[in-house]
Amino acid sequence: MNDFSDVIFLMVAMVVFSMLTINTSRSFMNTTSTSIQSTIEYRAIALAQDELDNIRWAPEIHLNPTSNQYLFDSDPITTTVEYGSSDEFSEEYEVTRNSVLIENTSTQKQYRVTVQVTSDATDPPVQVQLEYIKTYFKE
Amino acid sequence: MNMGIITSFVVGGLMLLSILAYNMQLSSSTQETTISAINQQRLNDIVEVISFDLKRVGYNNTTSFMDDPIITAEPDEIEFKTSEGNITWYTVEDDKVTTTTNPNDFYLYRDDGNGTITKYPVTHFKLMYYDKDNNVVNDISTLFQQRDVSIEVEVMVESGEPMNSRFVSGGDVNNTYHRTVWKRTFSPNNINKPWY
Repeated sequence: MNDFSDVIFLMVAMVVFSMLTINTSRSFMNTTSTSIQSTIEYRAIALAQDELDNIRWAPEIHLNPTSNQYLFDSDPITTTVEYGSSDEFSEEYEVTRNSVLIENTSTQKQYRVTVQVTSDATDPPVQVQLEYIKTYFKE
Repeated sequence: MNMGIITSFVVGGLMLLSILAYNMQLSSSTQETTISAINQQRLNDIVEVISFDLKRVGYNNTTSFMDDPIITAEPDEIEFKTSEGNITWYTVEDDKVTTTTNPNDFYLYRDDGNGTITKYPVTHFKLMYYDKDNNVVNDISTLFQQRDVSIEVEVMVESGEPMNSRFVSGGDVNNTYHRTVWKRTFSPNNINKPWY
């Protein structure tokens, strides 16, 4: 009886130890996954900021969704960003931009421009969204 | 010898081995996480300063217009005027970092024009210049007043110490370093204007 209880004790100890190792590994896996996602997010934000930088100089006709010169007719677009001394690394992002007229008064027109950058490199995908308010004064 | 004692030794030995392996795995994962966090933070520090600087190329707090604000525009060096002095970012690839085991890192320098030179370890630094039509500009002096210029910056940073090391044939050690990169194109307000 005594021998048999020792075996049970050992089995319980091994189960507890296994659970501990599995949980620790899972925790580290989550940390690594979060770290990778935040790194991709960091680069996606830089790409979204690039887009907003370009949009800052656009005339009203390019941000007006009803205009035939609307800049974002072909969105979403796929952008490949290359890195490294000989561009040996690359990442692909889907960029979706749109603008909405949010204010139209006698003195000004205001558009809200939204830039959404998505990377499918991880599961779940990394997605960042930046917004920018562009005001045009009427003459 | 008693069969029970032998069994206990075997089982105890297996447990001890698995605890040791677990401990090593735990240490290794902790090391990787810590090194990657430190490395990302180092890149972030450089990005903050570069972003702050490049957004104010040609910034002048006394007049509204600064002639030829970019003095040097090379792939590994940029010098530009601001009202607080000429700021220069440059690299010297032969100027290796000697305090780390990473063989790829060298210094990226920032000269604020007032005698303060700051240096950051990087493994890659590249600048590209674009005109308003997104064409690469090789000679900045060809652009009138250096207007409508976008500056693309790419910085790559590797950890100073390896995340893990493996022995390979011939007794050599293969070190793996954590690498992170950032790339952004700046269109500084002071040298850009609506061009459509």
